[in-house]
Amino acid sequence: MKNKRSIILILIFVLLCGCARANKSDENVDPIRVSVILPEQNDAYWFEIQKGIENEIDKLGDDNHADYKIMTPAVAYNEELMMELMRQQIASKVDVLVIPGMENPAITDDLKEAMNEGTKIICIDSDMSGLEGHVYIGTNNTTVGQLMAKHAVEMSGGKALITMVLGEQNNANQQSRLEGFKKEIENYPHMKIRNTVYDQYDGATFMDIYNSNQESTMLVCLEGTGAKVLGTVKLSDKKGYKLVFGFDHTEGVSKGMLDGVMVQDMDAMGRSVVDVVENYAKTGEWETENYYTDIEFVKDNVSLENE
Amino acid sequence: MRMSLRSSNSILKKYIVGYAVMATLMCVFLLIGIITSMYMTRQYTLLTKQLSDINQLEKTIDTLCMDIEKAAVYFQMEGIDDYPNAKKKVLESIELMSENSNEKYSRSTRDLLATLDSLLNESDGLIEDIQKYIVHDDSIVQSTFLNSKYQRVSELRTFVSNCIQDVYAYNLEEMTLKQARLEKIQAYLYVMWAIMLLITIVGAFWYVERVYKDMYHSITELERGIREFQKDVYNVNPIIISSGDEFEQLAETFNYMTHLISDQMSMISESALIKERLAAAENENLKMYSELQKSHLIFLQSRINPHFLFNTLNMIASMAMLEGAEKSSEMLTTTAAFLRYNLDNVSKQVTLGQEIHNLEDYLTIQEYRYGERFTFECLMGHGTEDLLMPAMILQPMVENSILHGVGMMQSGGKVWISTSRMGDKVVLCVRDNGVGMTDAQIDALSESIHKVDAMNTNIGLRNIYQRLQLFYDNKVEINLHNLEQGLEINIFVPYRGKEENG
Repeated sequence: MKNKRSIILILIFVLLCGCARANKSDENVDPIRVSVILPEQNDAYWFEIQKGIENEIDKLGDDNHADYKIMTPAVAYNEELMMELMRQQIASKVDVLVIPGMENPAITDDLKEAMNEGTKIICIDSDMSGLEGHVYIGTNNTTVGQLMAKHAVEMSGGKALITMVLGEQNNANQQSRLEGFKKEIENYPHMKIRNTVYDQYDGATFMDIYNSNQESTMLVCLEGTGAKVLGTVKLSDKKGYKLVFGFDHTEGVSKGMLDGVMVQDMDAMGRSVVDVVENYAKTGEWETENYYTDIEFVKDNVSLENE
Repeated sequence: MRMSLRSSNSILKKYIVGYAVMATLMCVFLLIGIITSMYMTRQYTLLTKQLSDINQLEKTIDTLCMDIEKAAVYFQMEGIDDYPNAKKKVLESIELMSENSNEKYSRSTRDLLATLDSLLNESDGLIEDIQKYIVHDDSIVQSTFLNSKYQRVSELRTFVSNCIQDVYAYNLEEMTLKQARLEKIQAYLYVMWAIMLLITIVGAFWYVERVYKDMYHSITELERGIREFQKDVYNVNPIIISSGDEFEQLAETFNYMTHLISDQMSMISESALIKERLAAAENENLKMYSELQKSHLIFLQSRINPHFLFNTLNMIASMAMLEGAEKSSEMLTTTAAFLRYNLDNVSKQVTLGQEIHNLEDYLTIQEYRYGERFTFECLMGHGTEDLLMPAMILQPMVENSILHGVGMMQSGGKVWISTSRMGDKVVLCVRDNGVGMTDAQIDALSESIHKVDAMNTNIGLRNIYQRLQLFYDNKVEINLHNLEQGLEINIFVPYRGKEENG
């Protein structure tokens, strides 16, 4: 009887030791370091992306193999500060760096150098040209430009004089959207782009553009600032514009200032970041492909489709 | 009644269990207190140690950067010379930090160490290039290149500082969280202690009360039982104690004892009652026997006229005297007197003097019968002649002495009859020097005399004794002594004289 008890005790001890060892071996592996640099935290768009990341981390729970650090510059959208943050993360040799694409050669060079050191790059929301081996997570901008054009044609009856509003001239994403838009309206001869202007993501500049392009019958904002400003400022009517389209911010639709908004899935962007990182942490393989997230067109506050 | 003894739940065991439980709880309190205190002290030490290690690392980094500055900005050899040592100290600080940390590094610490590694790599290159620039061949390294490298090192230094700030911030945040957690644990512990203390106190009170109640009830029950026993042995309610300890055993034993005593007492009472009834029945028998004898004598007397017989015997005695047969005449006269006494006084009370006189007649007759073979001596003590007694007491006794004692002898036999006064008692003594009796025979005879339901042996002596007892209200004693030669019988009777009898 005593011997039997002793054997059982020894077995329990061995099992416990085994479990402890197994846990220890699992715990000994350091999680990969992921740094996420977002241009702004208070803006709903980036806030949604950040929430997407955080929600997916929470969802993974103990299965999460990465240690995330989400940073924003002290001044929103300040490229200098973002670059400094980025350089610091590169200096600390993080495993994965998540940043919105910025068309700045210096940044591209730094990122290339980081990639050479083994850091993996994920561009979120905006892609970067001239950078090989990275992952892009965001909207397919050419497609979204085409979809925007389709709705514009449909709602205008195929006849409009259009002012296109972009954020900045060298933004690859918006250029792709513009190209997609142009490509789609090629088949409609009465759909003419009167001019393309850049608001530099500045509300005042956008309002100048809005006020000074009354000759156009359609205003298409391919960036988010236009829709955001029109949802905020108090205007009695759309002035000379028959149709106004925007991106991401839908508040202006209910106010009657916008006729349609193309909304990107920010939450999916954030979640996709975590999924890509988790896959890399688990397999150790970095698959360089683009992860396109869904888009939807909101008209009269009703989502028309998921595309 | 079956008595079971159990010792599984003794009072001692109850107390031991109670004290053991309390001692265990106290040990648990103490142990929890010690472990928690050790854990909290360890946690606080770790937290402060981590901060202290970071601070130490920061100092060594500052020294390293000062050396780099001396070398890069002022081209001081001191900086170049001290750089390896400063770097070594940085690495030692990192090593120390690693040794002191029992947990995995936090994200901020890992960032710091990686950035520091970048700084050290970059600064190694910078120092090497400065050495080349100053000592060896300045044409190999351009000053602009050095400047650019120094800028990069400075930038990394800034990043390292930022990382250190992050580490401090993280550690302070962790410290705050841990402190909050520890305070929470402490609060839980206090609550747990309070609850456990409460449980212990309540438990102790409950246990003491239970044990006290058990004991109190047991003692009260025992006391009740003893009181009832003192009052009435036959009417004791059984003590009921179910405490499972020695009290229960005591109660069972007490119940058994009272039951036993009650049974014994009942048996004794019953036996005494039976004896009393038997004695009464025997007395009744004797009375009936006496009455029967009386009626029998009256019957005989009715059939033979004793006066005719006595007159006839006296006439024959006178004729014998006339014919010159003096002895025959004397013998007939004595016999007539003896018979007259016996027939007249058979159920009457006589005096001892009358009894002695009658005995002398009897002995005269026996002398004629036995001749010279035995003699007798009769001595009546002073103050005994008036003793009232039943008739025919001494004669059967003397007859026994003659028949069983001296009657067996060819010559020299003697019978002594004496009476004496001893205070309020009179002793009637008949002694002979005959063959006597063995001790066993005397014992058997004594026993048969006193036994009411004895067999039909020694009827004479027993009859004498019973008649005397009846006459003197059971205040008669009889002793038989075996003499060197012969036997002596003493009968002690209370003195009851003529005057007293009225």
